[in-house]
Amino acid sequence: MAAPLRLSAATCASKLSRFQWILPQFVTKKLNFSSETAVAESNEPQYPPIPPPKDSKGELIRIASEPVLAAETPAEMIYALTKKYTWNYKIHPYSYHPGFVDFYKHITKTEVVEGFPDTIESWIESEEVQNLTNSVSDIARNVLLNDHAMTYRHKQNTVWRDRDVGNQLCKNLIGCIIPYLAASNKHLMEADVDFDVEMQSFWQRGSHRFYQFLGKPLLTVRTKRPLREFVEQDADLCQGSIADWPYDPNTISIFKQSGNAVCFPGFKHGAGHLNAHTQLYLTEERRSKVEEKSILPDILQGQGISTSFAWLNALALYQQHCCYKDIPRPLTCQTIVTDGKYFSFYCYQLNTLRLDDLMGEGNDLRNVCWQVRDVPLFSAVEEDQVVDFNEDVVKMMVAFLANPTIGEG
Amino acid sequence: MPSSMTTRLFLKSSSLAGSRLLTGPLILPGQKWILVRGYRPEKKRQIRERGKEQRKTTARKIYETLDLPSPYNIPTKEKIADFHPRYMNRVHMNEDNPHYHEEKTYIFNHRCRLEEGVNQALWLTKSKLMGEGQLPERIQELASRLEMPDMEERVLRSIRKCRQYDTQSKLIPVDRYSYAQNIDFIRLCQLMSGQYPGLLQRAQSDGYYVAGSWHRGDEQIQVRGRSGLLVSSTSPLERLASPEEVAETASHTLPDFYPLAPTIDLLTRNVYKDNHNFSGFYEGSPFPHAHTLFIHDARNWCRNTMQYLNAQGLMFAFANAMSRAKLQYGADAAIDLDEPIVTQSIVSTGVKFAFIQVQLNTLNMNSNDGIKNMVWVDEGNVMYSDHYPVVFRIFKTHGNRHTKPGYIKKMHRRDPDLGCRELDVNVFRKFLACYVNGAA
Repeated sequence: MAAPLRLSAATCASKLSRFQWILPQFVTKKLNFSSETAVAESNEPQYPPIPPPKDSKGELIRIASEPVLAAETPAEMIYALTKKYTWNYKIHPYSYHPGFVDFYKHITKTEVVEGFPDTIESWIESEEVQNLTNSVSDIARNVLLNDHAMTYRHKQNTVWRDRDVGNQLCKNLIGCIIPYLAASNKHLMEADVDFDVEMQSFWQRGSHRFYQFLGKPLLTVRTKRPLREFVEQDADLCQGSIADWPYDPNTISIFKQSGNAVCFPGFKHGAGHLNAHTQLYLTEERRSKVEEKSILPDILQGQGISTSFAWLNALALYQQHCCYKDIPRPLTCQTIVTDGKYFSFYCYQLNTLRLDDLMGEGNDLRNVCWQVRDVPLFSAVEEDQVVDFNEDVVKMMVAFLANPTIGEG
Repeated sequence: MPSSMTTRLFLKSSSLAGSRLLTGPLILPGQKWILVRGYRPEKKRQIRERGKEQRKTTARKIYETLDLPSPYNIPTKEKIADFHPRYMNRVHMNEDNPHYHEEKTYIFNHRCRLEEGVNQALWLTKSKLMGEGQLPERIQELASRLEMPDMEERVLRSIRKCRQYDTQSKLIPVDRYSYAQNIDFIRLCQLMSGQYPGLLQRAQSDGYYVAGSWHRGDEQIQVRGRSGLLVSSTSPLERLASPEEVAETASHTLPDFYPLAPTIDLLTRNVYKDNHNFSGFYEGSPFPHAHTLFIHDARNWCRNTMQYLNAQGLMFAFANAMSRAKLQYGADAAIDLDEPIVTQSIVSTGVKFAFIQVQLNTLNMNSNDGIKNMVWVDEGNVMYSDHYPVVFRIFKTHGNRHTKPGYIKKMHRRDPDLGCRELDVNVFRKFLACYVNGAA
């Protein structure tokens, strides 16, 4: 004990480091400033510049954003964001825990509105969409009959059977509607459609909490030019804050995993067509079980929010935007969630990516999601006939897919 | 006199306890069952019953000897079920099965592969190979006529998407890109529906089930399974060959590959449904006619080369036609069809494509004489050059060369020009012509 004590006392006395105390010839700094000489020359005190403290907000932002903003390509930017090995909360399209929707709203900073936005509402009710729907609905009815009642399927596992029916019906419906609309809509003629791909994206919200989304859409439609925005960014709907959720995600069974975050919107860099148009997800197969717990609306809403936000976020990252370099104009997408019988429609507008505490302080913008949930396409298939065929669902699908992009019409 | 005899006599005479020790069962408290192990089963049972007797209570002895009812409720043992209810729907695949037959049938499914390739399939389906490796003239004419705006650019874009950008892995596996390529080409073909509205009257069904059966000689041949994606339509395809050409096929002799039997590589089963014909769709379906079957390299069991896939495509396309014909004309009808049934099949490994057209002329399959069915096989269509210089750098993984087979690994590098070398758009033209066939 004696030696360190003596050492520290000595260093305190001479203000030298231990190294300099042992080898005094390496002392280069003048320890005791005498301001008298400087003052004598210019009659004003001259102080050394004060560096900003390292934990100040501006300094923290500079340190974090420097490598990200220095990147020349989106791939380099994403690498700079993801190269750190961290804990990521895994976000799936939906969770079974009651009350998880509030958490999803918080982490995506989303305001949810019932019904369609005014532009889409008027577009659905326009004559053009009505005419297109009339010619498609016969084909849709045939396809529905074929897939639901006329195809031989698995007999044992009803869950597999229902999943196959939903999968096949959606592919066939889209396969009828897109070619039919493509003749009059240029954006669909040029669009890229991805089937059965993985979708992953990451973002940061709150203080040092990273979220990693893992999803598998049935298909995504990407276009050359972006969709129009649903409302202007200055509108009251886009301004405001979202209710805080100051709890541990563990409490609603959302857990973290260590690893590098991944951004993959269904394709690698360089494939082109970076604008979201419409995506289609399959939903929960065990519908009756979920209805018993009365969490079905929550599940649909959560799926609509998380999948839309994750897709737009991933595409924004591919366009070299992130929380340090916010998107210049809002990004929009349309999402359809279905199990082959019940259809849910979502319109999502991404206004801001600045969600974390560091960048998001004083950020009044919020993202908006419009939803119409659980519209049945039909009630039953009896005696080779479709009962209560709901043409509105086909109309909504047609309206979504025929929604023109910016350069068009 | 043997020595054992002397000892036994000696012991018997010497003491009662000693003789009992050696002749009777040795029952010691802790080691009872160990000592009993060497006895015969009758003796063991006897010992066990004697033990039960000894363990009975006095009260029980009394009421059992007097034939009185038991004063206690002795719980009965619960019988454990032999089968879990979940697995009760399992069936016996032996003589007990109601579908058991003495005669074997020969089965071809999506996991079989015919070593002789298309030749063997021609014998099994009693078909004549037409067109000398080309598509029928009508389809060729259609292929040269069809035009799509920016076709080359679109095809190139589609190939790049499926081959390079589709999944997160550095090298996309065959079973993924061959499937994705089929799906994406179908999507491109569907965009022609502005010119040909008949293209909208189609429906896909992925992994559909088909079963077709017929007799060749004395042997029943069945094709059944889930081979790929079927595009079915509301209207049937037109015939490919004129009646005169059909009549000419009577003089054709089928290929023979003695000493091999033509049924080699097929599965033999005793449990089967006799004359099992099913098109995969129930009666009253809005899309009853099989248009095109798309088969990709799914690699179930092993990677298939092109010749096996061609044979598979031919067999299943034929089964599509046969099942529909048998359902229409009856299982025993051995007639020549006035209106032949035409189906197609497109086989691909993502790079190589084969286009197969089948025209079913006759249901008289037993004999090798008479008119034959017709098959056009256009194989060896290479979409683009797949051979690129593999940049390989050898690096070592964990473990050593004795324990780990993957100790030395070749490093593959993503090729940015993959799919762009020597692109042959004519292959896509054929694909388009086959798809548009019924609607134009």
